[in-house]
Amino acid sequence: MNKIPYQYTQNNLLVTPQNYQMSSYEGTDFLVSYRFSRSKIITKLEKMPKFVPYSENLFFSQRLSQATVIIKKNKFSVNELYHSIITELINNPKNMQVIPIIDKFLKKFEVRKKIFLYYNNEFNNVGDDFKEIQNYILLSFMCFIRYQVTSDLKYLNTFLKLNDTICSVKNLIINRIDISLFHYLLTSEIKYISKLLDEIDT
Amino acid sequence: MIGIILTPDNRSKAYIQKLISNKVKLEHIILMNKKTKEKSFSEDKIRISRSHGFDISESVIQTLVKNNLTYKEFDFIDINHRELIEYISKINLDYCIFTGGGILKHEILNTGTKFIHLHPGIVPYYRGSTCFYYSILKDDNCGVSAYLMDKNLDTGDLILQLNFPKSSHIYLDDVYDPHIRSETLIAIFRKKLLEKKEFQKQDKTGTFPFFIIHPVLKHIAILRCIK
Repeated sequence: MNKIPYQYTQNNLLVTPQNYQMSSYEGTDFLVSYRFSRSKIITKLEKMPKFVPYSENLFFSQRLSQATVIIKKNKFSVNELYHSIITELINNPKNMQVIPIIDKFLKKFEVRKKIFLYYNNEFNNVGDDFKEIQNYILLSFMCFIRYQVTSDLKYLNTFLKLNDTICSVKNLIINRIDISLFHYLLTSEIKYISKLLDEIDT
Repeated sequence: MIGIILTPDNRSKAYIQKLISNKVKLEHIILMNKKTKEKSFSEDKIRISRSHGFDISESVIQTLVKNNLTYKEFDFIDINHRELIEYISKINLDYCIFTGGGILKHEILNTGTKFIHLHPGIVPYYRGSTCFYYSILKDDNCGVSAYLMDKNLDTGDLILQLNFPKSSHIYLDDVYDPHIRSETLIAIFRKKLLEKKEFQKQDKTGTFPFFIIHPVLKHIAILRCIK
């Protein structure tokens, strides 16, 4: 049993963002708590009626403009952009054109811990609505793909923070894509963390 | 003329104590001090800090007073504060060691003094925050880059870069980070690098900074140190 709760998903992080500054070392119990907390949500997602195991087909139902075209608009939907980037990455995970766009949004999330619904072609938010959970799941998925391709810890780091944010508002995960995708992301995250832990012992 | 700007934290403790024990002469000592209560430390942490050449339980003021050092004290902690800028402009330092981080604004950079920062990562590969945790995870070691601060983050001209083995204990933030930075600072004086002025331009292309490390990754990095 876990002795201490995993504290980084206890509060609604969309309302009260976590800055992760000077986090304390709690020993191996902390990692047990982290794993327990994630596993609980994975089980919850699996039990949801709309749950189906993730497949790449989730992203091929709509015709999308290219990401590099979308970002030139005066006002663009981040959801449309993220879907477009993911479709491009699934077709070609080493697609170089979308990387600066992903990095820009990664930085934006790290600084403000928010993803707004709309941005302009200078990447400033248009409007102040940031509570669409799917956008966080999609950015998390992009971080996952980038980490898979590059093993760059920057992506794993933001992947973990995005997943904390999503876990903190897990009741907002209600549609089919979100349930399946986030389930896949959390199970993948645990695999990556386990791999890093295994490297300590070898 | 060389000066130092201290703040009441563990990094400043390591810097000033090691500068004194290595007989490095500083013309001006500035202390930015909001007079918050000193943290207390476990016996184990104090013992390990001493094994690294500084005493974490001794406050910056205690060290200054004990060694009869005169210092100018400000009741704020802000490198870009107007009063500090006016003071720095008056005392005419060539170099000033700055124990804190962050970005220096135009006004303080224009005082004519060059500010030295010790960053816990080998740039350009490790820029940004909590870099030594990332280098432990990726390279199994740590590094420090000493550079002259400019208007950007971790991009100034390099004075010295040193690699260190990863820590063998769990006190990375409070003890090991101040230790490796202060060791690099002492090496700058031993090698007389400020007198030689052979600074190296940094490769600033295409590097994306690291952001504050997630606690899960931080734990894995620390476990990696002690296993």
